[in-house]
Amino acid sequence: MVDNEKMSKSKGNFYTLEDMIELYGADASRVGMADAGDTHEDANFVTDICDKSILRLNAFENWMDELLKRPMRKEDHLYDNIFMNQVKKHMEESYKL
Amino acid sequence: MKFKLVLKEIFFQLMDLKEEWMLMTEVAKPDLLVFYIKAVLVAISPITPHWAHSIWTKKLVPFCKTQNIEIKPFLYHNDPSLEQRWERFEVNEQLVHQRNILQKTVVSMRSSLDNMRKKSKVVLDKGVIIVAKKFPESHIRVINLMKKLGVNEKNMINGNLFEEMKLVFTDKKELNNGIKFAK
Repeated sequence: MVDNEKMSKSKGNFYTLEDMIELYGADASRVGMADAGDTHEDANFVTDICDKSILRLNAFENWMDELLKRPMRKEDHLYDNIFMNQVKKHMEESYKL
Repeated sequence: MKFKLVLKEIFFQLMDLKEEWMLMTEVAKPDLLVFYIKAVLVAISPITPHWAHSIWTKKLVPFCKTQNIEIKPFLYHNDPSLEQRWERFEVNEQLVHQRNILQKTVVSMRSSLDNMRKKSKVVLDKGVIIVAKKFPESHIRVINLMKKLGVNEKNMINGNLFEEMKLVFTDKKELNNGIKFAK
């Protein structure tokens, strides 16, 4: 399915993988596929997820570019350990999935 | 592996964590920043390998060189995306709890600032959290008593704490304060 609707040529929402890659690029298409569902239900490809994922990837890249240019600190901060632990928590949670 | 759930965990929660960190610390620490970016790239690479690889080689590696931080030159060696093992971490639950408390404080402070803004016409853009360096005397006595009694396997305090407190506290007001704190 595409955007909760059954794909059909008459409705004009029939996409091949090549069409998807041309529209959204390889990475965003893969995010869309991963989000489409892993269960026995019909896979639902949401085009909005692809659009948003392009924005998210770009935003992350821009954030990185900007931050890497800024001055850094050497001292520890109270929140550093909490942040590091939270990153580890998300990595562990993903491992368990 | 359930891709949809992993996507939620990595693409949304892990990627959003940076804002929280920057809000709290304002300035980044290089080694921690590299640790975070590496975690995001490794985790997202099975889904968006091209993007992750490009960021790793074009941005992360040059930055690590300037900061003298050790890093692999490529995200993958010999394209072993299937051979790569997911790195395991030990999570400190106490730190998770501390983070939740801090987040709750920030949320409650924001909402009370919003309420105050609605009520008064004065522009409020700052708030101050005052943290006491130590507990009041009566609270310290309760904590010491709890330590003395210890906890059992079910994480419950051994013996009757309140009966013990009645023996320790002579002043009624202090006893009531102590019971309130212990509860």
